[in-house]
Amino acid sequence: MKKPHILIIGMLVGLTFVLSACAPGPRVSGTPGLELSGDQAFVAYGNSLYALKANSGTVEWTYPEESKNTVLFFAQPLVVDDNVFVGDVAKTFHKIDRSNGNSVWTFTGANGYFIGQANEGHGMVFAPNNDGNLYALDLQGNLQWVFETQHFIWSQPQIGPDAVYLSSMDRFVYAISTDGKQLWAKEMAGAVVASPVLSEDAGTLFVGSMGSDFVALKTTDGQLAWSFTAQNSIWGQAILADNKLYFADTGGFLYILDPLSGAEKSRVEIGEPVIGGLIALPDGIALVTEKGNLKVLEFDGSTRWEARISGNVFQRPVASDDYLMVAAVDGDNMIYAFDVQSGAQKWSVTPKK
Amino acid sequence: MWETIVIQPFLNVLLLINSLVGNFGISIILFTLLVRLITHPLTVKQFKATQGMQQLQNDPRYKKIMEKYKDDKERLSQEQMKLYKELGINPLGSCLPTLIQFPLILGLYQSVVRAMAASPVELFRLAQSIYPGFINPVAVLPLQNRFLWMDLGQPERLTVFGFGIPVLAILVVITTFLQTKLIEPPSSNGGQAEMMTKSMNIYMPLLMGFMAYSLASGLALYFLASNLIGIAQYSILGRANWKNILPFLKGKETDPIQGKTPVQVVDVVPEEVPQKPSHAKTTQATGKRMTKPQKQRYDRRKK
Repeated sequence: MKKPHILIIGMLVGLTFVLSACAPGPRVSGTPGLELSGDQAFVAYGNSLYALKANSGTVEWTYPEESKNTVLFFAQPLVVDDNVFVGDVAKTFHKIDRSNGNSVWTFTGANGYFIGQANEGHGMVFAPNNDGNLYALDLQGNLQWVFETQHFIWSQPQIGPDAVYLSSMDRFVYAISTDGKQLWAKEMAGAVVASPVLSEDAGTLFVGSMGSDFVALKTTDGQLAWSFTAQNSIWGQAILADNKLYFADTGGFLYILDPLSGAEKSRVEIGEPVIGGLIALPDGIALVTEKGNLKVLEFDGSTRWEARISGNVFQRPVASDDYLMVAAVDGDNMIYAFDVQSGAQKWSVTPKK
Repeated sequence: MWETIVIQPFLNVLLLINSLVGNFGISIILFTLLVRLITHPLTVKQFKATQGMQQLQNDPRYKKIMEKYKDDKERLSQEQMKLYKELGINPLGSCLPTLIQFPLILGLYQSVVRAMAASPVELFRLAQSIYPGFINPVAVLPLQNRFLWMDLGQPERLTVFGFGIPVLAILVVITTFLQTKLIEPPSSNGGQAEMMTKSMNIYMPLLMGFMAYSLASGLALYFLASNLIGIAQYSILGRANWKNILPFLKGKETDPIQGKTPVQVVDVVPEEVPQKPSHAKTTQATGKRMTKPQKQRYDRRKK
């Protein structure tokens, strides 16, 4: 090959390198998706889904066995019985055998990234996608129906007795019948990152939006029961615990409301943005700030214990009877496990094959 | 530093445009146009300097120096500098504008990538990049990623009879080829520079086409807009050699520099030859040119 050709090719390869550094790999960046179930933790991040021993962080298996650059995970896995369901940004949704990490089936009919966590109910798995569609698959991986929204879906659909409730980045909250028909839609003040919360009697749906509004909707027709305006955007999922409603905003405030009336009972200053939402514990609540401040609070909002982890956190903590775990990016490690009662750190690990 | 000086301002302007027009595809096109307009004076300077350097290569004094001091690099460089000074040419004149423009173009590209936030972490960081009070992030985020038949966050394919045709990638290949062809100098001395240009004409469109094929269509749209604006820019500056792609124009010679039919220029006058006033078109960088009769007189004197 002639010298100028080699030079030109070299320059162009260099240019490709520079430009691809600006938009790496699959042209999206994300955070680890973490789920805890029994004595196993599941971490979906990068080219693999890892099954870890909850008591030590040791890797039990990885999926796929040989990691591929074309597969990239950022979604939180869903664990149902003996199976793990998770989508990737290569537009594939996977059902994996929990015991050994073998693929059971894959679904490849979506057109966008899988970022939101799936949910299961009515004999189906509901997989939200960045193409704006919610894919309803039967447990064999066959597509049952598709429900279309106008933007990304990053939230987890919630399963009611007769309907599926879904929030979308198109600013709407939807109720969908179990055969995929829209029952009602309610517009919010901003895009909705947060998953809705269904009350125990399934009569009310609670959700907040980036537009700082937090609403209670009647599940029957989507009518507004009450609304509340937070000081800042709401990104994380709320929780119902101890007959109270808890949610946090990006300004670092935790709000405690009466779920029936929407009346504010208390407001606690956390001091840092909360993106991932909260989790209910048997005797309190837990949250983690974007900057890695993990807090376990009493039901009245007072701090029981807190710990600082290295990295940024975009997902709410996950908990079992013994452990409270957090997934972080850009820190010393990816997964941090704490004793849920004492707050003592048990281990931290960045899973590797 | 890079974030604060380049990315953040670019992002804010891009989002401001989007908040005004309400369509991210059009915002990318307008934003590319705006950045190209801002950097236009630099482009003009670069063209002029490049043109000066190209013509210098044909200057007999330059050739003489090159030949005379080919074994003495230090002296060669001194003599070259002297000649640059004499002719008023800044040897870095074509590099400096490029060096200034390159970060801006890279910043433009990065801000388009950043604005197409496709995950919560990307959206959160995008929201944090917005200047307080400049635009309302709740009103603009996330950006609407639909434009014509495209999802701007995904590689583009237009489905026709069940086949996904990468229309944007094809357009990017064509326009990149046109752009490189249009700025190709009319020289045909077969030198290394010309070979490199020819190679560039082949590889560059293929590379850009591959990137447009595999990257998000928002970026492919940016490549296409950038190419079209570039072609328009070269044409306005009279720097586009249309005869390179439209051979029938060869009969009607057009000076790619002045954009006008030139007096036939055959060589550059060496400094020591006395000249009569000429009506021939001159260029800023090299100054004196000869018409055919002048050239004949000069050759006779030389003999």
